[in-house]
Amino acid sequence: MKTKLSLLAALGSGLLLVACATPANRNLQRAQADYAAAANDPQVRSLAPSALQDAQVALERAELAQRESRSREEVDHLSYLASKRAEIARFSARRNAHVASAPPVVVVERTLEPAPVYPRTATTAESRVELLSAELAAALQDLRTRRVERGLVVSVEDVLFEPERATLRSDALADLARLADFLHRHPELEVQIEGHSDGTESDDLSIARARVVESYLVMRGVEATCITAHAHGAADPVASSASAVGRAQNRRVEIVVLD
Amino acid sequence: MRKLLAHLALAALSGWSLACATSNSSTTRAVSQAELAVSEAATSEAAALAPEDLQLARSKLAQAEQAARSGNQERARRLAEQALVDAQLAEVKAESEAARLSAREVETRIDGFQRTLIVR
Repeated sequence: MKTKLSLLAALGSGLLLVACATPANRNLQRAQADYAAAANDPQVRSLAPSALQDAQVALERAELAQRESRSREEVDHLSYLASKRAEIARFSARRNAHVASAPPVVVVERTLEPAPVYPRTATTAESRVELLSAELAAALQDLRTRRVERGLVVSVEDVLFEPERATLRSDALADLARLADFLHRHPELEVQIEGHSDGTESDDLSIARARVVESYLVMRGVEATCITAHAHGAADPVASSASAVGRAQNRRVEIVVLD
Repeated sequence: MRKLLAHLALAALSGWSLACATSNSSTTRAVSQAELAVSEAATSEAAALAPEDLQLARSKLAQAEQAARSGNQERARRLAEQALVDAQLAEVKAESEAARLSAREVETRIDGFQRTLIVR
């Protein structure tokens, strides 16, 4: 009797084991791998957290269905949904990364509206630059400025230019973009752009730099007639050209917002 | 005894119809959600930039509608739920590609005008 009982118990536990070990579902395994790939991607975690959350919920539903021994069709179906949700999360992150990396021009092109008309005569009593000083300060932020008699000088230093080059560094365009947007809103202001070289370079670079800044401002919607560009070569240094630091300071474009 | 049987039959019948009704309504909901997602994707850039994914969503939606008409609720619900994620994937894929292209276009334009200026 005892052996019979133990035999029954053994049989029972064997049955239990078989019941527990539901055969692995390949589609579920694929969904788990797809989710893991998305969840381990830092870009997905930071740029598409809610899509990743949706993928996790979908995967948990598939896993639950498998644990509850629901039909193979249902587990396959829920696994398919989970895999697709993981893929949606990956593409959402990619899309958001592209949008974030687009240069600021995109945004401005969309928001560009007809410039308001300001009467030029309205600013005779006080300096135009003074009247707009708060807005100008917000627009200029990191750009170094100094007040001179003829207006406000905005220095665009070597943050924008490399030695021997007149190309704008795209990572530093944001400062210029803010200035351009400000000037676009205030077509009554006149701007002089003055290019400088560092003394070791060709003087042609000073006009090339001024023109690059001029073209950038025009491309961002500033009236070309409000801008004049000049080359100063190395004639007007702000620091000694003997040191690399001094040369970097001299390698600049100054934008003078005229009073 | 006959009365009892009749009651039982009635109970079974109402239980069956109730189950059928819930499954019908969840299928209907899944199909209409899928229809919405597919039509949204169809009017997005997916038609041009993710045509294969969009086509997959459309064909699953058509199959779901067919299954619902022929009374196969379970199959209709599953196909509709799949069509929904397929459509959403088509849309986000297309948006990602559109964003990549527009970022590249702006970079090219900036490079272009800088080159022009250097030559000038």
